[in-house]
Amino acid sequence: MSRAPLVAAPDTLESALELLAASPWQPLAGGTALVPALRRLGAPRVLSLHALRPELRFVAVDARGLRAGAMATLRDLASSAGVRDHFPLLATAARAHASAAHQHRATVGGTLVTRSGPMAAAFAALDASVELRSCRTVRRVAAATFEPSGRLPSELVTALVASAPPPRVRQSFGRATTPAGTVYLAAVVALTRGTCVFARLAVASRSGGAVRLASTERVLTGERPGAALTTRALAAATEDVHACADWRQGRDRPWPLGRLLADALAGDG
Amino acid sequence: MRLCLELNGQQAVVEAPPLEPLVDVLHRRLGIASVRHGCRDGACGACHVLLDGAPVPSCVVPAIQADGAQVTTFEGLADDELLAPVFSRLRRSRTPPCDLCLPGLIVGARAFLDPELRLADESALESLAGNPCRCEGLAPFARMLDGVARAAPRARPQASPRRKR
Repeated sequence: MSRAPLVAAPDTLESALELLAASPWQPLAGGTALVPALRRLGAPRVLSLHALRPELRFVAVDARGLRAGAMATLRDLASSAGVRDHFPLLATAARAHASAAHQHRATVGGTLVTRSGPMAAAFAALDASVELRSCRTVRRVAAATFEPSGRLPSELVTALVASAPPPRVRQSFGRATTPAGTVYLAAVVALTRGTCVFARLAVASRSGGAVRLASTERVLTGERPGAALTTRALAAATEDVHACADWRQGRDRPWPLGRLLADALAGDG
Repeated sequence: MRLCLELNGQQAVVEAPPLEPLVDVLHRRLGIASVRHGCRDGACGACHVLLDGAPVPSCVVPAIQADGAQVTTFEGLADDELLAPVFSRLRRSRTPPCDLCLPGLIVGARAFLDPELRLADESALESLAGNPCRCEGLAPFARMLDGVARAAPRARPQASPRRKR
């Protein structure tokens, strides 16, 4: 950085949004991704959000679903009884993120923006939404398709919202090391009398967001799990346009992603 | 900016740029030798401290976010009740961790032994995954810590510096 950045630390959400409406600021939440990046890239204006914790650090679970404030930490998610009981996928993914020390700093809002692998996969499989606020508007965007550039300069990520999953749903999370790197799979699956009646699957690598395996979901729905179905379902997973040739031709897919998928489909129904 | 914090139970005031990493504030400006930077990315554990009771990599905490906080480092844990069995076992150990990893491991151990911070089925190996020890690996220290946790009475620890901000 050639010149020290201007730093502000508003103590209310309203004042933070007013600052963002007046000029562009780089929001700074937990800092696990941004502080090292600031050292290399710099930013003219940094808006520290730590004083917004009274308003934005919360985890609320009820019959309708989950609402987690952007300043809630991943440790808050992992230790919340409500999240563990109703969104175990999210609790498991939070524990898979880096280390305990990181989890105490990394925020829900920050991981939405950086699209960290485990959390991105979980958000996508749960069909969660990102809440963005400005002085004048509140809007929601699907977490699976949210990109950092999707935040307008006048907006702040304020919450993660996820509806309660359908009844009899099994949530599972797995990770595996492949030649292409670590892969995370998040699955929300319901089996009734041995038949898959509902499936939402998302895969992610360490960063760069998650991909919903919509074609695989269609193959699985209405079918009875088994080795042949797993192979067919994996062969249908062509959504990742950035995947390498081996992956797209199926040579990387059978293992270990197949194992993760088989684990997700196992269970009583 | 003028940074005021409670450091190992004592009030400390120091001037620091608002985005300076806490590790530099502690090590260079406040003379805390145990907190040192290794990777500057939050990956190595050498800079871990307790911030309002929770273990954090101080290299990714900007100074402005530590203003008004309680910071506990290795130096402030020497007489900690929960850590007494850990120190006892380390003194008897033939291969204790070296000075590079030990402060961060002790900070992590303190957090792990706090039943209010530890998750229900969390192992020491999982909790201390952010402290990759390069001398003999993390596993021996983690095994020792799991043993201390199992043997610990299920009583509230001495008042730990925790304040949810």
